[in-house]
Amino acid sequence: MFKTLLQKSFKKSIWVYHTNAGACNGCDIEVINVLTPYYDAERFGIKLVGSPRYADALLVSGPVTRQVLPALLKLYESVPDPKLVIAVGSCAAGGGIWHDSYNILGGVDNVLPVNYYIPGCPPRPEAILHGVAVALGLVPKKISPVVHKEEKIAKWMKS
Amino acid sequence: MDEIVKGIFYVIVFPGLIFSSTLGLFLCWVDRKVAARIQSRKGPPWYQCYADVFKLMAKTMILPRGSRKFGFLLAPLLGLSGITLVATIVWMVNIQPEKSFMGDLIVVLYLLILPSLALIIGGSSSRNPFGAVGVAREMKMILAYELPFLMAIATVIIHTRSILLGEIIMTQSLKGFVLAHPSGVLAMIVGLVCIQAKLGYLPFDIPEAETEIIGGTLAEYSGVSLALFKVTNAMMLLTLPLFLITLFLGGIRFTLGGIVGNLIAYTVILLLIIVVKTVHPRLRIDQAVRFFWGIVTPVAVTGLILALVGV
Amino acid sequence: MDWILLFPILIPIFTGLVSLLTKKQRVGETLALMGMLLTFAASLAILVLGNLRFQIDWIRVSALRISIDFITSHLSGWILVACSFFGVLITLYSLRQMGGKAHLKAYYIYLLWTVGFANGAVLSNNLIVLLMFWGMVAIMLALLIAIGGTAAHKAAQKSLIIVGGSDFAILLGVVIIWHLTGSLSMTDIKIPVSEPLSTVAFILLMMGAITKAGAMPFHSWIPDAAEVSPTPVMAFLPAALDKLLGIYLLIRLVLDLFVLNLSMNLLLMTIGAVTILAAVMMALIQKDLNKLLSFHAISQVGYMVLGIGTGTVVGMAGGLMHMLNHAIYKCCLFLCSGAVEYRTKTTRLENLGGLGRTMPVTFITCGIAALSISGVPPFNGFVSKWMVYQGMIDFGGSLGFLFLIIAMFGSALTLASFVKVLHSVFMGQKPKTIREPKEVEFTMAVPMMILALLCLVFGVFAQLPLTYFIGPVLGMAFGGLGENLQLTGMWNPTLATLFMLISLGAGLLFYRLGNIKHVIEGEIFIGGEPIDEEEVRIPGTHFYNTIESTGFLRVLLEKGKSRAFDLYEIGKKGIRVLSLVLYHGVDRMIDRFYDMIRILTLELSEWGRRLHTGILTTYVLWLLLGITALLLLLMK
Repeated sequence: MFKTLLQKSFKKSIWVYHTNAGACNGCDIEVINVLTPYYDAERFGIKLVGSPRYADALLVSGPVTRQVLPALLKLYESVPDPKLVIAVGSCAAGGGIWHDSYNILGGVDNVLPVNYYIPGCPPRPEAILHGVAVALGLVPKKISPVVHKEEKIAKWMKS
Repeated sequence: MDEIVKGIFYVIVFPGLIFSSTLGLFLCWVDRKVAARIQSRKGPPWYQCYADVFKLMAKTMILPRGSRKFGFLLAPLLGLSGITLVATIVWMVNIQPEKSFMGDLIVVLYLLILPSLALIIGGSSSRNPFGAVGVAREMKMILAYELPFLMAIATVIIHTRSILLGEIIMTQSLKGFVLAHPSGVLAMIVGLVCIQAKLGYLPFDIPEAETEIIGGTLAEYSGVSLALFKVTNAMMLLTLPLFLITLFLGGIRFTLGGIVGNLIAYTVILLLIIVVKTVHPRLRIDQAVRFFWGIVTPVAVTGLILALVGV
Repeated sequence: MDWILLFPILIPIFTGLVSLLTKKQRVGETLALMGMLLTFAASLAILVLGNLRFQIDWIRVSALRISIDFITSHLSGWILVACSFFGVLITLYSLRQMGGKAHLKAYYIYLLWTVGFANGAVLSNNLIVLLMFWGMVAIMLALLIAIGGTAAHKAAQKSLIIVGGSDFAILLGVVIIWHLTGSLSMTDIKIPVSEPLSTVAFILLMMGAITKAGAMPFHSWIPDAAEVSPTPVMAFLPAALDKLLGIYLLIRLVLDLFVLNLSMNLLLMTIGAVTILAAVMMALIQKDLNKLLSFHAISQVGYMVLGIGTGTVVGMAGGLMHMLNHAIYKCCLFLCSGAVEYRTKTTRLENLGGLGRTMPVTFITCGIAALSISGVPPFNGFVSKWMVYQGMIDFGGSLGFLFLIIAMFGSALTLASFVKVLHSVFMGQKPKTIREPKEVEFTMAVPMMILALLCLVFGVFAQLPLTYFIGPVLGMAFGGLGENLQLTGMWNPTLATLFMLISLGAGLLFYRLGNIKHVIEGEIFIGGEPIDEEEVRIPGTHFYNTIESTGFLRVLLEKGKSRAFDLYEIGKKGIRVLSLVLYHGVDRMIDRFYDMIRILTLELSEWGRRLHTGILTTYVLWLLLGITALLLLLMK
């Protein structure tokens, strides 16, 4: 009984640690914007912490460069279980416009097991918040319906 | 024998561990809500601090390799036991003033060092250089605020002519509050500043500077031990304003007007702590030492001299 | 059975003499250990037997009557036991620690003789006999310090001069007492401190007692000795034995020999308060472990003097108990420092660190002693400090509160200093210069463990020493007020410890409720970068740089470090100035006077020589002139 209480509390209070794995700082600025009073992330229990040992979720931005790789691995080891990894921005999600560059590994999921992707270049603060809310189970995932090509052409031809 | 059983009840259930931690965590939420309001946003829901502590208890604990694991794990327990005893003594003395024993004020002062000592032991055993920096800063903070705090308490002793907490309460109900004298006002101001430092709140957040030294003394803590430190902090937030009220405002009085007055005083002190915490940035350690020894100590000395003169 | 009083004095001296004759090392060591154990047994027997007196007349010259007079009272009984007890512990410890040093045989002999002489000083009833033994302890002190090598000779000389000077002060005071009362037997004297002469006598004797114990301003021999002498010597003499002897004399002065008035009380309290604060400030900035511990020894003497100076029952009981507690935990601290030095061959704090993992026994005993000296409940330091605070509050008045604040702040500073010590030596990171140190051997660990255990026992069950040791002493002086010291209605340490343990248990329950199954080990996190640990290691000596450089404290501490406040140095400079003045003013003057006579004589003879020119006509002229003058004279 106590264990379920503990597990349920995990969703109510997520402490994030933000790290930059070679980004241009655009996504970092947006992440910091989210954590300002304007967007009020604290009502979901989200708090920015200064040490990875306190963190539950890692917000990683940027394509992973060669120099940052060992530090990123060490960082992942320092975060205690259970943990979430959230890739913020197009570069983190899959390399972005640098996806075939010589000095990057192409997206955080080549290095760490990513739980959630937040695309955008940079993603708006509302998008980041929406992503974290999906992670917390507060909103359902955005799934667009699949419409076949012929139906779409027929619909357009009619009008 | 039943003295001991009653004592155990007081220490563990009421007003000791369980009562103080629950109420203290609630006050932590009040702190975050008021801070949110000052920043014109909605704050976290009422269960936020409890959720924090429970979540921390569910996480795995990572022990740093090569550290003194015994000291590392023992440190939060030391802090917890110190503040539990202080909470018990302060509440019991307010509820039953005739039960206070000789020298309990000094015992309370010494036990109040234990939470800071726990931080120091924890930071030392963690083998992290940031821990060592945090330890140095914490020790210097203790040295800085102990001196004016002792002087403020000496002012109270001079006014009430007694060193038993129970007698301090009873004298104030007969002869008026210590706060009614000018020296009492000065001592109360000094006490408020020192409590801010003892709680480790901004602007004296220095040993645990999150953005500067990755948590300082608590750098390597995670999981249950971190939860214990948070609970200790919450209990300090509950007990220290009550301690100030006992010394300066005559403790808890069990009449209708008395209880309302107590609640108003407690809320005012709490709000002062929260507002100062939200509005100020962090001081550097040498600025803090110079502040305490250069500005607050002369104020305390003035209060002491005024008290000796009789004002 | 009264001659049993001679045993604690004669056994160690005799054993030492026998030891002189032996050649082999092992025999000497075993003899020393046996001698100490026998002495300990004899002193226990004396404590149990109670009131004994041994008196034979020694010198009888007209009005002067010196007798070899030994007596046990409540006070001397247990101090005797304590002296022999520390002797046993230190001998046991030195068996391993001092191996390989030079003059080893002499070391054990000096140890034995010191215990013998100290026992004599504690037991004696006659002031001159007391002074004899006192002086011999001082000589033994200098000899023991000098064992540390040629570098120690200067420190030994300094200690001899300062302590010897205080012996001279005691002698002067004794002479004044004899002049005032005509008796030299301590049980018969009781002088009120009202006239100037008796005040002077009291101050002189007090100076002697305080120098031995090591309060300011006569403390400067202790830090200098701490740097160079071997650690067991430091643990034995300045930490334990000197405090016992010095404060014993002070208590006898205050309770038995003199009746104090308010100004003397204030003087004692001022000395105590200044000692506490100044010594602990100096200790904050030290970089050598032994020197830091010795400054703390000086500071704790301040508490004892402060407690005794209050003149109230609780305060004096606190001062006495602090003497006992201090001997226990200070000895333990020095022994731990010696253990660290034995394994790592260094006492500089910057080069130590992280020893707590491999030397757990040393770490735990040192931790207990450090918490005791800082006055953390429930150890013994807290009980005695709390009684001293009570005494000051009973004393009352504005000065009482001032001293109270200084004492409590000094306690916080002590805690700061020991946090630095514990972090630098045992916790923190281990520097590369030390290989893995193993734990110390059994013979070295046992004394430390016994002392730490005593710290704990005397703290939790504080009624024990109070009722058996200290109560009767004050009861005698204050007429049956001994039962005031029963801790009824006061803070009950046993109960408090019980509650602390229970809350610790509740915390452990908290641990159990949490996720204690998945505990893993990980590397420390320093920003994710791979770093060279040696570069970022923060030794404890950097801790208080901020305080060192704040405001006027900086000036004071620099002056303190460069020995501007050291009375010995000031004395040396004074003597140098005096000798310069005498040289130029007196010596040179006499030389010049002789020079003048010499020049005068030479000038005269030169002038006379010129008269003898060798020319005949001049001589004839002189003849004629002379004959004319004579003729003129004769014809008158």
